[in-house]
Amino acid sequence: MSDTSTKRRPSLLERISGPKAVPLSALVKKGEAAAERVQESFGDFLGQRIRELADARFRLAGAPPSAWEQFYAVVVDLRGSAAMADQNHIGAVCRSLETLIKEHVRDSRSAGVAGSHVDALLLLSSARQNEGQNDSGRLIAELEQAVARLPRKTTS
Amino acid sequence: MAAITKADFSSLTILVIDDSPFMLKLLAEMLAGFGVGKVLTAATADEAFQRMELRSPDVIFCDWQMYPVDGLTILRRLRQQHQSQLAYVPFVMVTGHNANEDVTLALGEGADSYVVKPFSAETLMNHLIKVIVGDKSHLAQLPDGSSHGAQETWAVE
Repeated sequence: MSDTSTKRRPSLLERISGPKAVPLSALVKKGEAAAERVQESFGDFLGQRIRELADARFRLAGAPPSAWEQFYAVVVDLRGSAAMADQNHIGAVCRSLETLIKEHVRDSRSAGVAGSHVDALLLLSSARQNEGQNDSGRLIAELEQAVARLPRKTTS
Repeated sequence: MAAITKADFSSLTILVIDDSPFMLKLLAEMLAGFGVGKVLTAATADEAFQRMELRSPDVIFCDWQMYPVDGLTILRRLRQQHQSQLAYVPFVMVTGHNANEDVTLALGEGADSYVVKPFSAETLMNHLIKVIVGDKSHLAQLPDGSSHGAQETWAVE
């Protein structure tokens, strides 16, 4: 008869410790190399996400909250992914768009400014890496100003 | 406890949940690069729970901002499954937001760690080690009196 009280599953710490354990620094290097390979595919992902936003932008005016939330989810995803791929200018446009969606009234004017953000993403994605960094900075500043001019949601 | 400087993750199964194909691939590949034995992926909550029914993961990395079911909802559903070992699986919340209230909320709901994008491979490793060191899931007593993972028999050395 087996005595289950004397047996237990090893902890995760016990399971990762053993004769085959290798230095964490070496594993981190392998993880970094894997990340670099995946980051090379960011352009394809970016193009796909921008197409989704471009398709949705014309449906935003008068759209129900769920449509805005779905749009927002794509923007948040794009910002996080852009950050992981070191695409800071893409991330900055997404941040401005997030502010618009979360803090401002969602009307036809907001939908128009949201569309301008999508245009900016298209423009920046088509520019070569490191090309026109100053221009992108000015573009992002103008988008942020356009968002700031929109009426804010009232807090109840 | 001495700092962990070496590891062999080949016996671990890790589930990555993210609705972003890019992030899903990035996290999965980084973990595979660490030598994790089995990396499962899910793009939705439904897919994640289906995967967990077939194979209980040792650690979960889950994105917070997903649509329509977000990571916090998945975490709450997991932690409510008191009769399942899933209630005790180490859970790392992945997010683009680093506001204090978000961190507090996730940890309060039972997340074991919280990683903010962008993060490096080294940061990911640190979070993985942190939840492994803090793991007590193997000691958890389930309602039937068995300990977590008791369906598997292990020899005591």
